[in-house]
Formats: sequence, structure tokens, C-alpha cells
Amino acid sequence: MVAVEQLVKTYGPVLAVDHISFTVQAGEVVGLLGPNGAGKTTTMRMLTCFMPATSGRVRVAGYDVFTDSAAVRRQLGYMPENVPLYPEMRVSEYLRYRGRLKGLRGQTLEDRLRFVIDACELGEVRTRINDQLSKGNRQRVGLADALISDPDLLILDEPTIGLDPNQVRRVRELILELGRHRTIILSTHILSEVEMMCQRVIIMHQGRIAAQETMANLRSSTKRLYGCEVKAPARELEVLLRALPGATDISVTEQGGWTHGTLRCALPDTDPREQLGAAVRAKNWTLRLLDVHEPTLEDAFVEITAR
Amino acid sequence: MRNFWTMYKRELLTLYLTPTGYIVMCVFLGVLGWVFWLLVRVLNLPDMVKIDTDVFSIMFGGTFFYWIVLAAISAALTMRLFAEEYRTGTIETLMTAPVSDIQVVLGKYLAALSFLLLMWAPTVLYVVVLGRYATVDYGVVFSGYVGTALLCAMLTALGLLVSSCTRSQFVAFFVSFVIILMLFSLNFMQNIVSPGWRALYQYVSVLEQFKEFSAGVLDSRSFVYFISVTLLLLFATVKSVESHKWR
Repeated sequence: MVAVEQLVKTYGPVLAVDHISFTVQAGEVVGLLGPNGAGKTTTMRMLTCFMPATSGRVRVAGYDVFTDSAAVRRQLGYMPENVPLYPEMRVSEYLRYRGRLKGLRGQTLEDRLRFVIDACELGEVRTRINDQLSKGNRQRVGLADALISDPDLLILDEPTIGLDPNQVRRVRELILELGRHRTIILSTHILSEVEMMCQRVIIMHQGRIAAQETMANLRSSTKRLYGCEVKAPARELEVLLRALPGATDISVTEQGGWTHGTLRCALPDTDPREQLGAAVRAKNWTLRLLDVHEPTLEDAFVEITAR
Repeated sequence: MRNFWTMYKRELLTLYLTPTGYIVMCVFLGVLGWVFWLLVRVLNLPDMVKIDTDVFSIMFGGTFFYWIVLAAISAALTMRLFAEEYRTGTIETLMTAPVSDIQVVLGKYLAALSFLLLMWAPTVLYVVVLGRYATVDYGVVFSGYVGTALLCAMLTALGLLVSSCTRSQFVAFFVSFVIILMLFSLNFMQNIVSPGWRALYQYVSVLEQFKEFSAGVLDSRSFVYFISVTLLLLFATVKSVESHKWR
């Protein structure tokens, strides 16, 4: 559905997007992640034909975003960050206008309007002026706008920011439902959301793609966090942890007479718990806890973007 | 074409929904009504009745107020057209919808021009009222309206171009207003330039081109002047909108 090849975008001397390439298959829900300034929004703006690339190529549904821009824009629904709306228009009036602009007319337009108002729970505010909407309602109007033409590709920039927990849950459910028969590219800083909704993630860092993996592969390639709690001086535990093969990210804290130590292991397929347990026994320290935390997306994100 | 109408209707509706449209309309009709009353009173003074001058040949381009009001209202009506889209970010949703730059520019342009021309509609009452009490040269009235429509078309295109170059409505208004005043002042420049340049200044002077319309003459050269400048400004606006994507 989306094929990006060697995409570059510069703003004067600043290289915002640096030779990125990726593909998104039809029906896939892909999370586009990265720290602020990583180039996510610029990439999405190039995918949606809002700005051209400095070099490289983007094809959406087989159409080139530069040469077949109109055809590409007919295929997609885009919800930009901060959801800009015309302040003087009413919600239903605005959505009807956007539907018309996207080529909908007559009964089809009315049916789609009814659907998006229901799906995005805008019934109560449909006659309200955009300028008077809360942040959450603005987000939902932006989502309804992206959905109104029933596009094959949805590009959503921070779709749940500003929503209350109940609304977040309902929007997530809606995106999951939409993702069953649509391609979705989703950018968000809420990593748990990506874990719940996306099959694959693309992590951008300093304009480049730092990782693109399925969720399972990303977790398995991320170092696990091992922890132990012993009755021992903090300095001595730290020395012991450092002596373990491949030990990185060591942290030691003391609390209530117990010393808590954590580490990650840089060696693949190596579990340091056995060696750690043996070393603690050799020192005759009392061991209260020895465990392992499976890596989360947050761990993967931090590890990749800290490189 | 459908997208053009969608854009056009929204822009026209916005002008009728926002206070700017009503303020501009009130100022315009107030000033023009006052000028009309003043002209009728002055031309009826005992010393003036022997001067064979039609009220409408003065009203269309013969007073300072005509030019200053047109400069101010065309700048005020066009200032938000693109500047507001850039400021609020709605340009992003607009330009990622399947609508072309030309459709966007023409939709906004014709909406502002329609609003401006519709504001002139109530002034037909002046013609009707004066026609009941005096002899009106309808040829002058007709050419005055045609000239005014062409001038409005050009000034609206100029205001739209300036609005497409900035994110600030205030800057758009101020720059448009100043450029329009400078365009009007080209007429006076011909008195201070060398004779070789005089012909050129005369041709590009808006006031000079408008003179014929005030006199009741429809000169094809003036049509070509106003239409070609308008088209050039609209073309520049399309390029300006396109250029925002390249920044």
C-alpha cells in the first residue's frame, strides 16, 4: 500500500529526513515512533502530499505522491497533529464540507456523515461551533474528518492525545476495528497504545529509521531487565554485577536494609540469573528476590533511541 | 469543478458569518451613501448647477473616497483568505484533500470578489432615486459599474496574492493597502518622470485606465489592462501557494 524509497527532506541546512525506506502492506497497522524532532511529522506530510521530498520516492496504492498527487489524496484520510479546524463552522457543517471536498455527494455523503458522527461519538456536539470544542472533541472531529471518505489508508498523528481515559479506550477500539480492513499508519508517543494496536513499528531517530520490526521481533531483540534484592553493601553488589559477563545498564539502590540491583545482558541468549545466584551464595548474602522483566516497547524505544 | 464550488460556497459563507464581512459592508455603504448625498447637495448649489457634470461620473472614480474605500475594503476582505489558513494550520487539511491549488485559489478569489460586487448592489438604489428627480446618464452608470467590477477584480487578486505570502492577517491588510495606494499614485508619477517614461506610467496607471469608464466609455484597452493584470496576479497566487509546499 505504501512504498517509501530513499526519502530525504531538508529544511535549508537541516536534514529532517535522511534516506529512509520502508513499506507498509495493505491491511497492516504500523506505528511510527520516535522522539520529538525525529522526522515523523515531516515523513507523514510527505506521504500525504502536503510537502514534496527533497529526493526519493513515495508510492501510495501504486500512485506516486509527486506525479499523481490527486490520486493519492483520494486514497487517504489524514489526521494531522493538533487537528486544525475552521473555528466558525459547526461540527456537522464542517464534516459535510470536508466530505464534499473529498468527492462525496447526496445520500452517500449523508450516510458517511451519520457513520462518522456515531463512530467518533460526536452526536452531542454536532451542532456546536468548532471554536467551542474541548481538546478531546477536536480530536474526535479530526478523526471523523479522516474517516469520512472511507479511505483505504489512514494516517493518524497522535489520535488520542487530549482524550479522557474512556474516550482513549473507545478511539483505540475504533482504530482496531478500522484496522481490520484498512491500512493505518499511526504516530503516537503513547507506547502502550502502539503495543495494543500495531502489528509492526517503525522507530525513527534523528531523521533515520533506527528500527522497523514486528512487535514480537522488537521485544525479542531488546535486552531483558534482570533484578535482584540482597542483604549486602551497595558498592559490593555493584562490583559483583559488573563482573557478570555482558552486564550493562547496572543500577543499585538501597532501601529498608535491602539492596536492589538491576542489569541488562548484552550477550544474546544469555541469562545471567544462574551466575548471579551462585555469586550471591558464594558471598553468603541473603537473597530475597531474583527475577526477570520481559522487555516492553518502551524498553525497546529507549534502547534504540539512546544508541 | 465540484470542488471549486464547495470551496467557493464555504468561503462566501465564511464572509457572511464573520464580523469582518459586516464591518466592511457597513463602512463601505456608509461612506458611499455619504459621498452620494454630498455630491447631490454640492451639484445642486446655485453656483454649480451650470456645470454639466453627472453625479455618477464623479461617484465612480471622481472622489478621493472612492479610491480609499476600495483600497481598504479589498485589503480587508482578502486579508484572511490564506493568512488565516496558514496561521491556524487548516492549510494542511485543505491541501491533503483531493483539491488542486487552482481550485483553492479560484474558490477563495471568486468568493471574495462576489462579496465585494454584491456590496455594490444596494447602490443601484441611488440610480433609481436620482432617476426620479433628475436626468441620469445611464451610459455613465453602466460603464462606471463595469469599470468598478474590473477594478475590484484586480484589487481582490492583489489582496489574495499578498494574503498567500504571510501568516498574519494584519500584515496582509497593511501590505495590500499600501501596494494599492502606490498603484493609485502611479498616476501622479507621470508628472515627475521624463517624457519617455510618461507613456508607460500612463498605461500602467490604474487611475488613467479608469478615466474612460468614469466618462462613460468602454475602451477595450482598459479591459485588456484590468483582465491581464488580474490573471497575472492570480497566476502568481497559485505559484505562491505551491511554493509554500517547497519550504
